[in-house]
Amino acid sequence: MTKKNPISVPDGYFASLEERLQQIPAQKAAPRFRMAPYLAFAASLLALAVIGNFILRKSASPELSDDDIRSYLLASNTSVEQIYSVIYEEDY
Amino acid sequence: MENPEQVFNGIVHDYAERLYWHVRRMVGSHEDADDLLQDIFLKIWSALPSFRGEAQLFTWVWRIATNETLNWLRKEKVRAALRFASADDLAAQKVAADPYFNGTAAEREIAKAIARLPDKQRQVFLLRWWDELSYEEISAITGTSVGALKASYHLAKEKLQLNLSDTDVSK
Repeated sequence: MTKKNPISVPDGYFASLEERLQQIPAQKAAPRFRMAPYLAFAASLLALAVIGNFILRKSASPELSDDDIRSYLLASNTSVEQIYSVIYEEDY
Repeated sequence: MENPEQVFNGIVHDYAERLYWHVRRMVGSHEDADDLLQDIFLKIWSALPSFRGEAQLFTWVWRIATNETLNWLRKEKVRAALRFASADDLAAQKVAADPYFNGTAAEREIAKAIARLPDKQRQVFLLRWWDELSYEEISAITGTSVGALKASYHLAKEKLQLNLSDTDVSK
């Protein structure tokens, strides 16, 4: 078998091909270096711990409104002076 | 130190044309080769951060190109099967209908016979015969042993000679 290239390309194809291919980096975001697997694992654990801690804190100390506090104090045997001191943070 | 864009542009400059010819012979048409080459260079760009220099740049680039080409051919087989057609026949038809084919009738017969080879045999045959890569280079690209490559090349040549035995082009 003889070896002669019998196929061709449209005129100016390779110049335009190179130009098109060199636009790929601009079209796609710059490649990011991948995090090593053990670092990715450690980061996931840390994120899990932070999120878990946040959720636990939120559930352990629910936000109370002023009305909740007033209702609680009024229902208890707390004196008016003490209630005022809690609400207005002043000493009576 | 060169930034990734400079490295990529260097790869495009050094390898685009040579890879085009390889891909074109693998897939059989200019339009498919053009599309596939775009995908190959997208892959090269996205994989560039993982290139650590253990392999030669040449081997790394060719490995991506040959893997992407084989993947494309696998998908083409599925597409052909969904149309109840044979991918090998479609590839030969593409060669037969290629408007950028300037060769003789005998050269077209050779191209069609090459298109009918199984994908991996065609790949090895083209890398060795057309691209004139050594078996060691092909081995580094494909991850196949030199012995297996030689056997594959020998089989491909035998099939081609058999397919072309009715014509004068096998001499």
